[in-house]
Amino acid sequence: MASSSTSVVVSNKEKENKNTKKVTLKSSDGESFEVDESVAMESQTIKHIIEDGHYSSLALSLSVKTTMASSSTSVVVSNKEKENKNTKKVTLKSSDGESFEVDESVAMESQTIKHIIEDGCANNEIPLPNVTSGILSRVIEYCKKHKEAAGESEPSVTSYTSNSTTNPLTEWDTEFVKVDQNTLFDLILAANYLDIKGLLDLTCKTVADMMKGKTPQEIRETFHIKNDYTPEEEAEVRKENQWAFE
Amino acid sequence: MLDLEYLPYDVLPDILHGLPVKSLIRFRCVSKSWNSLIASSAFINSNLTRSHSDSNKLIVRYLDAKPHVERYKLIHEDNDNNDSSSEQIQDLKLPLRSRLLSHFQLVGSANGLFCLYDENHFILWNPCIRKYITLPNPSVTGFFPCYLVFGFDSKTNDYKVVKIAYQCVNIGYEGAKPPLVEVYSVSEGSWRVTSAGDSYPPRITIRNWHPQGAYLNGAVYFAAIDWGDAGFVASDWGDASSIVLSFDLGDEVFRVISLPNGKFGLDIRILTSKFKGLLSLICYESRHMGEQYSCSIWVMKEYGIVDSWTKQFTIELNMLHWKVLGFWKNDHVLVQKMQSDGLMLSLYDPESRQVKNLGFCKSTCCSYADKYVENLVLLDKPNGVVS
Repeated sequence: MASSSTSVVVSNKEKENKNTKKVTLKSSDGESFEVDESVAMESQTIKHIIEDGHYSSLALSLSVKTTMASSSTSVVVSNKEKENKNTKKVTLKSSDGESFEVDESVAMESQTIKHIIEDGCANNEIPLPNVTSGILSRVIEYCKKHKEAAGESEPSVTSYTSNSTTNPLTEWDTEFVKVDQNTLFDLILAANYLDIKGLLDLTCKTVADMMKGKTPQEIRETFHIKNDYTPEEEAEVRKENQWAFE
Repeated sequence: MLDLEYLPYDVLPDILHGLPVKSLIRFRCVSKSWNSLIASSAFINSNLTRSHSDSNKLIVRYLDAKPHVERYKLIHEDNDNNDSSSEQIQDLKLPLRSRLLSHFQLVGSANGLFCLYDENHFILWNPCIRKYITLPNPSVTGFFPCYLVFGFDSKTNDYKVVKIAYQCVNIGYEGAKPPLVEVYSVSEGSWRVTSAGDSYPPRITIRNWHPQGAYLNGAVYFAAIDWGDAGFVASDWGDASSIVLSFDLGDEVFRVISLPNGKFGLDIRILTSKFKGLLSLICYESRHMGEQYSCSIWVMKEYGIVDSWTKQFTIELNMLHWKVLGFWKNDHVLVQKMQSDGLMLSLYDPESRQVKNLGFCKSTCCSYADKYVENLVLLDKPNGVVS
């Protein structure tokens, strides 16, 4: 285990170093574009020039007009950024000490984790003292599934809907919440703490569906809520809203 | 242990928002803290956006001639069945009668809340929580025509009733005084005279005696006429043109939306409506004397761009005495057909041109039909009169 974590660190650092090395590309009409070397190497032509060492640290002349150069440059840049993002991983650590390595993009389904990463406090391992390993593994499963379905573009911020024409994961979601009530509640707590809207909506709706149609007494019993009404007060509220009991 | 008390306080509202209104009202009896949560304005406001109104339910308002009553029904459309059965129709009772020997005038409806009016007496009614309030009287009264508007200001999460009181017999005349505009806001709980009349464009009259403005995106829209330099005799109508007049509930300002030249003559009956979230016009045009009119639906595809007004489709119904009530289920048209013994409410599909019957009622006319929206608004207000 020690050696594997070492290699992870090394490769990350290599990535970092590569990322900071830059080259300058100069178009035929004299405009210069400074880009990461790794980005420029998307072009096989440039890659060979660099590898052959046939350039100064400054400029490569390209016989392409400015506009074309800038557009192809920007395409290259964004592709590379996407690539880097996709393979980047973070480690989440549950309250009971278990570590889960996940793609950063999947972890960012959680707004809480997203902010930690963006604030630069990630350091590759994020401790989650409020979430046990059993729940965390389920949460990760949810995020992976929803991230896949949403595609590579944005973090999926689709909120849960039982309308299967608008939510292709309705069936999967319905199966996902078929768990015992304690797990369901823990999932709610985790979704709230980690700020994962879709999961929070899904789990809350599941609890709401359990409540529908019950009497106030049944609600108190199922969810252990103390009745702080006096009998007179309760009778009055009930009388005012009698139609809702029919 | 399923102990809700262990849930962070902000999660309980998320759970409760998933419940239908009837359950929420019942659960006011669970405990005092549940009661104050459910009746809090924060919960009421956020509940609207999470509302899961059944998209298969319509609320319909019928008017009877003898006796003069208004009736409200909930009609449930059964997707599989082509007939509607009586258990799909539910009566809703309006808890009070108009003081006059007639029915109220429906000013408008927004998010499931209805505004009704008779003789300077205004009511706001939320049928799904069976609650109404009576508004205090506005201060502006007068003999001259007035128009009433009702809508929802999404910027302030507030419902407003607007009284536009003309100050002369015919506002279309040159030099006519602008109207006085008074606004009631539910959150303020009172009427306030505004300077909105200053933005009322000169020489514009609203068409139709009891227009029901189309409400969308925080403003109400009316079919109107811009008299320009025209006179009022038909032969002088040359310069007059049809336009749409809007009143924005947020900034309380009137604006004009132009219509393409030559397409909407004064002889065409025009009503404003909302089609697929866009401002639309329902136009009835007589073909020849005595023949059934044709009805076309126009939509302004790009807001404010005159050239973007497009004719979406024409409704060809092979029958007499029908009218369009509005739109439902995306692009389907709600139609009222008058029959010898009553009314048939139907749904017309413009693509297939098929008509599906939704429900029959022994009434003289149907004044309103729209999707049923569940909303907790007014829950936190005391019952009945607002002083």
